[in-house]
Amino acid sequence: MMTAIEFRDVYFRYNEDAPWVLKKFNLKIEENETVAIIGHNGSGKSTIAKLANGLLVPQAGDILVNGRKLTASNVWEIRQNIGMVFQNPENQFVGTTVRDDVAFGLENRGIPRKEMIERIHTSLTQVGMENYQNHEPHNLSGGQKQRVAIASVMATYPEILLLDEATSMLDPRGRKEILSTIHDLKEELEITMVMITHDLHEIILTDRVIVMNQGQIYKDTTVDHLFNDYQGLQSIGLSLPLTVELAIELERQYDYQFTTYPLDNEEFLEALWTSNLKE
Amino acid sequence: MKSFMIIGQYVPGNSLIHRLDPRTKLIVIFTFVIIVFFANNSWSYGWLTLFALILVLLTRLRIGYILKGITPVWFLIFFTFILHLIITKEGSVLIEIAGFTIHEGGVLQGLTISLRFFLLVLVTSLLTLTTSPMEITDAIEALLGPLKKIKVPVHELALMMSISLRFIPTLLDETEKISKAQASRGVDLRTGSIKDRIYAIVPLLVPLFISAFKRAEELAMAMEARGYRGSEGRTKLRKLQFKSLDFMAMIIYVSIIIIFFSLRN
Amino acid sequence: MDIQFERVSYTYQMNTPFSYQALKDINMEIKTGEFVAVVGHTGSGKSTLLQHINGLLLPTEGQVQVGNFRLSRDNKRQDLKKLREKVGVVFQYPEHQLFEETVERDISFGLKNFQVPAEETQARIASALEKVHLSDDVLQKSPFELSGGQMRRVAIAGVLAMNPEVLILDEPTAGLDPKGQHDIMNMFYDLHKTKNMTTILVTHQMNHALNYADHIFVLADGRVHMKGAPEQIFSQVESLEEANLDMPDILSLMNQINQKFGTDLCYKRQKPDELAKEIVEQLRENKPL
Repeated sequence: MMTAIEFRDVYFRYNEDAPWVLKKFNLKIEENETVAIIGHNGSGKSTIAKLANGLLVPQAGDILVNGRKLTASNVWEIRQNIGMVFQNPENQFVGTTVRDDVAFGLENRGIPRKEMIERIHTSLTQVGMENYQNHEPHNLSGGQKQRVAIASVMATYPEILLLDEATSMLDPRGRKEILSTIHDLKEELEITMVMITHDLHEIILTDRVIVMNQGQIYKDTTVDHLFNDYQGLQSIGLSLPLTVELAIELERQYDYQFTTYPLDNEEFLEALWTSNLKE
Repeated sequence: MKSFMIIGQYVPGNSLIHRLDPRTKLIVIFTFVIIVFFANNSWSYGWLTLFALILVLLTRLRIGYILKGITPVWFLIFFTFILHLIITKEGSVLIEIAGFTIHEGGVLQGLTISLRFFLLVLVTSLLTLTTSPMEITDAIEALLGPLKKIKVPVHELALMMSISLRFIPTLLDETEKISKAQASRGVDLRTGSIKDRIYAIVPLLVPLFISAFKRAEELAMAMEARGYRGSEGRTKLRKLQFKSLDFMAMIIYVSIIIIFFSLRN
Repeated sequence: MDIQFERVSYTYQMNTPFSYQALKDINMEIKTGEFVAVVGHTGSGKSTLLQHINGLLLPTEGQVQVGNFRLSRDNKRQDLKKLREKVGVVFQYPEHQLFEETVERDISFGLKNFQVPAEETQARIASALEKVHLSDDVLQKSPFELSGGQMRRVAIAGVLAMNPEVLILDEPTAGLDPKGQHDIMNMFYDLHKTKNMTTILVTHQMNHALNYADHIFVLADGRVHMKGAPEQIFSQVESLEEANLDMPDILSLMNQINQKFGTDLCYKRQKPDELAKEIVEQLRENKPL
């Protein structure tokens, strides 16, 4: 298996007087992995995505994409394979209409017009926005704009998709829309996906969870094992999903045994059902 | 805030005029603006007025709305009329009030100049009412295309224009939001001395600039991430295409001009 | 200050092809000292509604009564300023309204506008800072040097310094991480409790509406779709769906448990440990042999 993204002893800070955001940071993300990077605001998680496609340049250390070291001369070429969705839906919408916005990345890559039209249609269908081709951004909800941003990226057929807090400015509906879109993409395509988030609900979609704290990896684990150390997570300012809190209480007060902590209602009911039968 | 943005604002529709290629509209309006100055008798003025009124009807927009859209200009048209009425001293005297004389020539001159003005404004506002700003941008880019040969950055200018258009509603919303937030903190932009009012703008402008810069920075980053490196090697989704409707419109327009010139003295 | 909406309608851009009626025949009443949540899907008219309470918008029909102030389409501006001193509004992303060179000057901006005597200013600033849990060494810093969370607190302090009797909160937690959201909501709740401040929370976070509000108004399509106590509102699942709203996490979980296990869990503001206890007790009772 190939390594999609690799950080080797990376140091980064925004300017010389500022503290290090990343300090001797090492990370390997394999091809077709779905990884969540979580942490509270200011833990350095967002910087990782911007470094990975060369929007920021580290002060020391190497960043490798698909095994190739990222340099000033190959950054444009490498970036062609990386799609990135940013936090603010408003500030990444370049086109005056939905289809213009999806076209933007394709136009930059010199895709012929005929193919462009096909790709725009396909990628907008993927995110359920095919009926909005001629809509202008100010008539769309935050969630819809963010789905267009995803379509824009998917139309360029990236190998790696970076979602940099893509849901944090959305209302609950918008958040759900995006999560189900991401879920569908993951089912349909083989793609390396990195989700940067502070919302613990989002990690359900991932295989692997990296918890960031103060510019370092605090924990690198799987979704199933993440909450085994719930005290640790709380101590670095992360809050627990309700179902995990309840499960912890059930264990503490009544000796219930959960093999893994339930992350959503379905898992909670399932676990409760099984343990209820056992008693 | 939004309410005074309706002057000449694009109203989507499907009328004949809406469906014309923006380049056709741009060429027609540009030449019309020049031709108006060639009118020199009541027949030629009447012909152009008739043409403009038919255009208005063809847009299928409410006439009241179009006329209201040019409200700010009414005053100028009226002012022009009065000015010529008083200044021009030709022909027989019609009225004499307290030493002021109004001549026949003045009335005529005033009427024709303000009619000319009115036609210009009316027809230009039809362009913006029936053509989305983006179409206008495309048309300008296409019509200026030949200038690329002499190193005019036509593509960059068009992109700048389209991004500005795209962010106008965003920035208007933002202005409204911040001015409301400051009004809630006791700022009053509408009363007080001029000095007070100028000071009252600072709490609005500073946050607006900060946010506009932040947006620009984020947008630049997003564009870079999506592979934008200037016009080289770029293809284009938007493509303007003359249709049979445009050819017909052009033929009719040219005949109208020919008739117009035959009507002149 | 009691607040009352009487048959209020509001139309944006009247008499243009773009005219749009955002509020339709709204009747509502908010009593002094209540914590009220106004919830609704994006575009339901929440923001338009809140702007009527301090006269940023005047109703195109009907009237709004706020304490002694009566607002209708032909109000004078002078009165509005007095009203705005009493009704503080924390807008969405309030940090965007910061503009002064120092935190201190930004917080005192409202005080200056409302002509609060200079000798009172320092005390007001100090107490506002304390309310938002910031220490006074930020006072001489530029607000733009602070972290996002701190900037928001400074902006909120600027509103609180005016000692408003009514506090309107428009999505005050937008963009914060879960811990930040929790801290800020608790801060407002404490203020409400200790100062008996009438608080109107506009939100699409049902969890917050459930946790903090005495009363909820659900808006949909510019009308009051439902009103009542949180327990009452959230028991009407179908009506909520019509308004395009979700259930709070804890209620949707409880409903699902009830359905699956035939239990009879009932929401009484339980903490997780209390809820766990109830679940176990009910499961043991219900357990089929």
